[in-house]
Amino acid sequence: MSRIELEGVWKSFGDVEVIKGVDIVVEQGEFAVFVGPSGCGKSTLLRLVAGLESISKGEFRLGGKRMNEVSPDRRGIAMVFQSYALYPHMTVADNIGFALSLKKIPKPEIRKRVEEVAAILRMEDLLARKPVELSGGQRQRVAIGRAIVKRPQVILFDEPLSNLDAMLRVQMRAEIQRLHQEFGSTIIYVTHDQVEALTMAQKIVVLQGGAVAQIGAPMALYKKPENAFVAQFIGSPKMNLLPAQIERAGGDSCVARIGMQAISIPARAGFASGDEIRIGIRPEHIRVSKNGQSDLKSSVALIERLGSETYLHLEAEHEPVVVRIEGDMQADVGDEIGIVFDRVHCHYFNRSGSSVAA
Amino acid sequence: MVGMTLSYEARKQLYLRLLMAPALLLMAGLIVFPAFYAIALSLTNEALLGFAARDSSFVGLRNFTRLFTDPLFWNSLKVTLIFVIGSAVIGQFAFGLLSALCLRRPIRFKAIFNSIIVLPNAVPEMVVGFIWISMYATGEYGTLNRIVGWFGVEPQQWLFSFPLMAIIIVNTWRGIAFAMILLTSGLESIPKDVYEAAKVDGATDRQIFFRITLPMLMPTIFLYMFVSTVTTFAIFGLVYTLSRGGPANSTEIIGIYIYNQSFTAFQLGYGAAVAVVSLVISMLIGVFYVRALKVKI
Repeated sequence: MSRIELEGVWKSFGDVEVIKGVDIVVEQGEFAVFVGPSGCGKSTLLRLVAGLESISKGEFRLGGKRMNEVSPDRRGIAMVFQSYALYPHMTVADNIGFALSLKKIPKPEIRKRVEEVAAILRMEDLLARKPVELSGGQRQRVAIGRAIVKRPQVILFDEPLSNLDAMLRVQMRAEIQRLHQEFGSTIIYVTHDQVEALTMAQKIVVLQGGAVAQIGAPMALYKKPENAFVAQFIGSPKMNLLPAQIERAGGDSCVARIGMQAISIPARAGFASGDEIRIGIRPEHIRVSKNGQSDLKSSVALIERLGSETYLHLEAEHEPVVVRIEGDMQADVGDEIGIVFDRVHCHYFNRSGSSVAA
Repeated sequence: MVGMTLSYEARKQLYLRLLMAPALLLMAGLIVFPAFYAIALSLTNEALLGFAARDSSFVGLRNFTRLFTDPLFWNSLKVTLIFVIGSAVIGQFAFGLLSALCLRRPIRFKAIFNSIIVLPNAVPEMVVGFIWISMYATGEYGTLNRIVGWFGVEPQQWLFSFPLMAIIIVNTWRGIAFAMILLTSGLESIPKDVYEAAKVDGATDRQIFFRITLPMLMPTIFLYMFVSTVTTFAIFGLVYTLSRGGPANSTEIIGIYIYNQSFTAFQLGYGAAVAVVSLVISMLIGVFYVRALKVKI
């Protein structure tokens, strides 16, 4: 009943096209995360689903029914806003019960359901307070309570954790996932934080410039990015992308040149001598050479020690390269070190940024 | 050298006090002093004619006891109350709110509508008075009479047949802008996403207005009510130009009554007593708004 389908959806404000022909399907009960940098159109897309903006072209179907012309209040959708958007003049209980009171549900029934929701969100003792008397995390809980009290088919979250501190964010992340398991509503969750996307989503939609860059399960996006944008956006620290030129193609392997240094890479169908490519490799898939043999010589520019791991910021052929090392490592800024790429985890992108398959 | 020894905080305090000094001096000279002078005057039989004019004396509370038995004083209070409620509390507020709500939406010719509403407020009240004298003029050449004439209505003597209503309409017309500007700023302060949340929660436009807009606008509404009640209570020039309190005291609001007692009947002491009572009423209204309705000034 709550399968979401966006088909060829466009949205423009005047001459500015914000959403450019998006096709997305979110299955019933699925937790989908729309992720992308600021201005990629993810919040606009969410507002189109909520009915707060009208679709310029294309179709939005909910449970198979066209929703383009249906007003927000009739879509059976709940939304949690980034700013929480609580009603400041109402108590927490009235905020949560507002949607029910609009439907003229009897007061005892409203009170019962508000108390149920308050128990689920562990805020029974806050019901009589006004929003101004709550902390950021508590306000967020009220906003979520207001959404789930309606028992909606679909819940939309618009960057709900971005105003919380790091610890609360981790806690609320777990809580939202728990609620999803409990209620089974279809969820669309918008964030610019790829960690939130990776940890919460069953399906991630990466958006770039108003279009879909890639849709897939979190690990699929992490392991097999279809383009350089997704490769760099998903994963933290981001994937290293090194510009290279194919020097010799053919056979099982070919040689690519990064600046003045040559590196052998597995042959790919699309490679020809002279091609300019980018070699992508994540920081955790590079190791520091201990026996003098390396793929690339580099110098240490910065060392970040986090205790359990160390990030080496290197410079190789004027390109920045980040390497993640387990534990601590003895090195100093300016040290010359050789690095080795784990070929199994290397990605190759052509000039336009598309992944070149094996 | 003294300045050098003061801390930054103290210098800032001094600077702020210096900035406030001219305003405080003006208020002391033009409001506080006359108020105390009026209180002193109200306890005398000061007059511009007769023996008292040459040789006034202290009469205690005689002016006040006289006042409470004076039917014209009670009449002026009643007229003032109707005038304030009719024009400020109902007329200006209702039209101001309506204009504020309408002009927030993207409508055509918005600038023109805005000007039409704001202009009357920019015109001096005496000029407004003369404009409306021409509007209400008797005979077939009065503007309003010509307009109603198109619908076959006989020429009326507006300021004689409906005097209080006539001045209420003029003051409403003049004051819509103030209400609109204040209420617009109140509406602007309601975050957009609260409306959106209400929409997603399933509220209709009507429900949004009564359950979100109006309650969230209440502090601004009370502030408007406070300012407009007190200023309308003190109106003089507009009504004086239009009707001078007549006919037969039917538009004699308290400002006109004070003027008439002081400068038409030449009883300065008695006029001052009425002025003192009107000051006390204004202050009570102010205290009510600030204390009971928690208006933040």
